[in-house]
Amino acid sequence: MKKERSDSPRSRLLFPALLLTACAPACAASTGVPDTGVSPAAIAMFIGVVVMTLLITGWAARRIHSRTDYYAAGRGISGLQNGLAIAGDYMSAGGLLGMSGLVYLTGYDGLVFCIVSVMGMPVILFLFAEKLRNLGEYTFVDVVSFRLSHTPVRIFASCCSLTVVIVYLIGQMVGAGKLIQVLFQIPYMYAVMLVGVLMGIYVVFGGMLATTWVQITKAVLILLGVSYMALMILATFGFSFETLFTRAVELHRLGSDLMVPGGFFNEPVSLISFCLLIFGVAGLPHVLMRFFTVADARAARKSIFFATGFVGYFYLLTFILGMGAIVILADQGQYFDAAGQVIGGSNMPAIHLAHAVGGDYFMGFISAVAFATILAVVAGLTISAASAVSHDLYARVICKGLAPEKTELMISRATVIAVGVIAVILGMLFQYENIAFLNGFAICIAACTNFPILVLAIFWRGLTTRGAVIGGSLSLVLTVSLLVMSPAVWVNILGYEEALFPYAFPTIFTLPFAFFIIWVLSVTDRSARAGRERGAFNSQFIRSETGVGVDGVSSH
Amino acid sequence: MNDAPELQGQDARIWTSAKFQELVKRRRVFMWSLFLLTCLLFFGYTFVVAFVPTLLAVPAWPGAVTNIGIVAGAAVIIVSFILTGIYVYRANREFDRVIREIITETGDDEEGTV
Repeated sequence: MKKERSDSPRSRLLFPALLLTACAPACAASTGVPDTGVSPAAIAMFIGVVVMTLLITGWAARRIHSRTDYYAAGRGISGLQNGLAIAGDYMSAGGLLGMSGLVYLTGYDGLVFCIVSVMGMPVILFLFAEKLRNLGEYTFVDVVSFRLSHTPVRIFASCCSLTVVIVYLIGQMVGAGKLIQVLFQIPYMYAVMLVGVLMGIYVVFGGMLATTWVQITKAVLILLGVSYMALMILATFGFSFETLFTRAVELHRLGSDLMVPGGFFNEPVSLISFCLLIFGVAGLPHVLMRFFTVADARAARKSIFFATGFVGYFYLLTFILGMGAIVILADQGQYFDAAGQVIGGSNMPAIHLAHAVGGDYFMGFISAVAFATILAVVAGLTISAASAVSHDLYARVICKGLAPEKTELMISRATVIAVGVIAVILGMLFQYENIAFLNGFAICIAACTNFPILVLAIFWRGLTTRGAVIGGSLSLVLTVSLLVMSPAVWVNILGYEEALFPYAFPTIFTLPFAFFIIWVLSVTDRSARAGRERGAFNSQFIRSETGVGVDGVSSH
Repeated sequence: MNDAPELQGQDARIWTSAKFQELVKRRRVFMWSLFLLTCLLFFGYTFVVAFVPTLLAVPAWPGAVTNIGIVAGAAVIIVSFILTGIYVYRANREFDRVIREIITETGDDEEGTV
């Protein structure tokens, strides 16, 4: 297997565009993609979703007058709405397609993935939600730099934000490209570009307001769609999970191993590293940013409660979808190629399942929703990258808070376009990876940088600028290096024989390292600045607990 | 710490208010207990997945294909949702009310809002 891989990935890296254009139509032609291909129903749904999101953007664009409108939707989002939007961020393409695909392939291991995706939410609620809203303005970086030295902390924390966002974007772009390629037989490259352009339009014109409402709309649609599929599956089995699982075990090549952990988690270090990713789920900048779109801490709290419910429900259903797909797709040859593989790859079982239970129209609906999902999540990621650049770096570091609103927003919009271009390019380079793993990379970086820094900034008086910036940077570098040396990049993408770092995620080493190094560098910091920063903790503490002085709260 | 406690105005009054100190203590205990409970639940589950996977293969009832693993997995998600519900319920009822009282009692001097 290794021999076969060793030359092809290198050439893939050298000629990505060539390979892509050559491969995309070839794949579609060889598999044929029977009537699931370019059905008019699917195209109609697809266009419907695009038009709807553009209408939302148009509506939002007329309401964007200030920085707060652009970055924080004017703080007018309610708890339930924000809950849906946050849930929407987690119900990503990786969730709908990647997770159900994983359950389809591995059974129980897929469920562990689902649980990890949900468990970040209670962590956010208990540790962050209210405190973020009370301390920050537009980004989590505001909170970290509350009592620390603005310039170094903002530069460093924005770098973390941008790294996480860009890596996360890769997974989304890959998902988008593959989905559109299978459904509409548009070459992967054009598909990825289409996503880049649409997302750019939402964010440039509609800011956070459009981003939030696109996300809410999609969250409602995806919950409806997934509920319907789960209902149809359960109806097929007389609403008996037992019957469903029995049939799945009978049909799956894993047999009874389908129902127990194995595969990915046959080794404790990998499993624990993976499970520590829940702290990364709690450190994703584009999700943390949503806590600034509500009026106060109370609404922030409520939003994460609703979000936990929606996401939990969604991932439980995702497991049912994966199991259902094992049984329902099994006797339908049209979903498999000549070699017996699922057409379109490991991310496609959910889409085929939609066709099997609901026909052309429903498959069109689910595909359109999956596409909307990608657009909405990508838009959220992009606005969070844009705010890191325009708010944290330009307005606060370069202009020291004196940036003219117009220039700041212009820079933000230019960043959006730059991020779009970068996302498209990266989406092409990474097209052969499973998207659930790529999201894992981003979450891993967030777990080892954003999470420890945010926790220490909020709860630990002793944190100093030196600890946060130098300690955090060391952790960022270490984490990214180990990820690059892990099998997914070192072997599969760079084409070396053996990975320098044997595990998929380094979290078990790097998360404790981050806390330790930040702690050491902070307690040994004897500078006058460090003294002032520790002294300012009381005032920050009062504000984080009570919300006194927060805009939007003091007037009722 | 004796490092520059330069709290002024309302901040100083809040800091010295017994009600505030008591609220902070109560909320801290509540919050960290729920956090630890969530971690225990999740990492406990994780521990079983990593080290005693055979336990998860035990049928949920005699002769069933549905096993303890599936039930436990679903339970982890549902219980963590219930825990968030408990937190929000108490915070919205009790803590928010006390915070409002503290803010009114210590007086709102407009300087803090700028």
